[in-house]
Amino acid sequence: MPLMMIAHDDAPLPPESEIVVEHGSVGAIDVMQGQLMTITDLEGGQPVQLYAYTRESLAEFLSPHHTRVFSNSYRLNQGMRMVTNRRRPLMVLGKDTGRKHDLLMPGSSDASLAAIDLVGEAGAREQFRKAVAREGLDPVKYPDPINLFLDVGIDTEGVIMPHDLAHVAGTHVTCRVVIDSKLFVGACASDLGIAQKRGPVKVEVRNQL
Amino acid sequence: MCNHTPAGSSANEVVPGGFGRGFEARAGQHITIVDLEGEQAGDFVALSLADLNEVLSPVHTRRRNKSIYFRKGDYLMSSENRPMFEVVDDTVGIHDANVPACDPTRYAVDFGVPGHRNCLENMYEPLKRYGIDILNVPEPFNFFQNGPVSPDGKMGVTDPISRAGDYLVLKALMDVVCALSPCPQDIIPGNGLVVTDMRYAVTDKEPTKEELEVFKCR
Repeated sequence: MPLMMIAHDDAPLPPESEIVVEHGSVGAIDVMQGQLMTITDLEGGQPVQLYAYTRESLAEFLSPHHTRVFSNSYRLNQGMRMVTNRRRPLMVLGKDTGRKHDLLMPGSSDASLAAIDLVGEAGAREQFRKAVAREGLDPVKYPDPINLFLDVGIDTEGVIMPHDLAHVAGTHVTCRVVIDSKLFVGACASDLGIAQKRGPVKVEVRNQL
Repeated sequence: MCNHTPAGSSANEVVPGGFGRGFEARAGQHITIVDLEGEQAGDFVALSLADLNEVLSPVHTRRRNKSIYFRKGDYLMSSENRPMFEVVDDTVGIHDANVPACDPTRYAVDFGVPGHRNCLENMYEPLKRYGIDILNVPEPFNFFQNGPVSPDGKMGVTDPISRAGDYLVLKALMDVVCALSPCPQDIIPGNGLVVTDMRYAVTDKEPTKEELEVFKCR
């Protein structure tokens, strides 16, 4: 099978890879067009922060704000295109056992976590910047995350309702990558005052399911 | 009467529909934004003059207010989670803080109209002199824009409910530079398909009824 139905059967395949992101940190991983990227919450109850820059330009990045408007949806649902600030699909949410993902909330910070008595928890904002620096990158813009497995409801009056996280171990999403990119995946705590756990997250980049 | 600037105003200007303007306000001053003809959305951004990396932030405001909307008395928050503005008065009550500023890609890719005026560049133009990159123009508040939520969590695309003379008054809680762009969107619902002017005014005190009538003047 070709990587995606635009390549010949004998086309060379890009390298597969995987990382485990420990709680309170952000990890980086490369993805290529056509690959399948799976994020699994290994123990359950852990919110995940997803960021990405395209390989072509640090000025083009995954944008929860454009993703919302691209699909006219306040929440991320299966089948939606996750788009860049230039409104190009970067990947598509193809498989989803979580079914509850947020596009509205900022990433946590050391200070916002301390403000709700989660002293010592590492904020997503600081960990994302450290991970970007470790990759030798120096972008102008640090975008807001897409918050996977973060259950934030919204009603017709516009009221936002964060819910305790109750998803089970092994809950995962799989996305088809459309643009070569560097992903940053965080396993940092939420600052929304909800029940949550402190587990690791596995990120796998494969050429086939 | 339209050209009269009340005493205590440090700025008072009509922004042509589809274009942008920048202005500063000091902590304690009030910013009045008027939809002069109605059904006009205005993209608005602000940056702290003390630290241009601290910006008005819709995501932090949503988190604090637990709502995608804001009400009179609410704070609009900065990216450092500090109150940046207090909502002092609001004759509409429906504003958007979810939709990114329209930009060159929006028109070129989504509508096949390259070269269309857009809010991102409208707001960047006056902010350039502060030395920021266009990528660091913050996510906007879209005053008077209407993005209702459907029961299945979808975002409606419709026109503002604002009428001629509706206004919003914000009290600055830190020294800020702001940019306002009466949105040039004239292709899909959002501005009643007709792009019109807005006014902003910066006053030392909360504007009086008489001053507000002056600000509504077209």
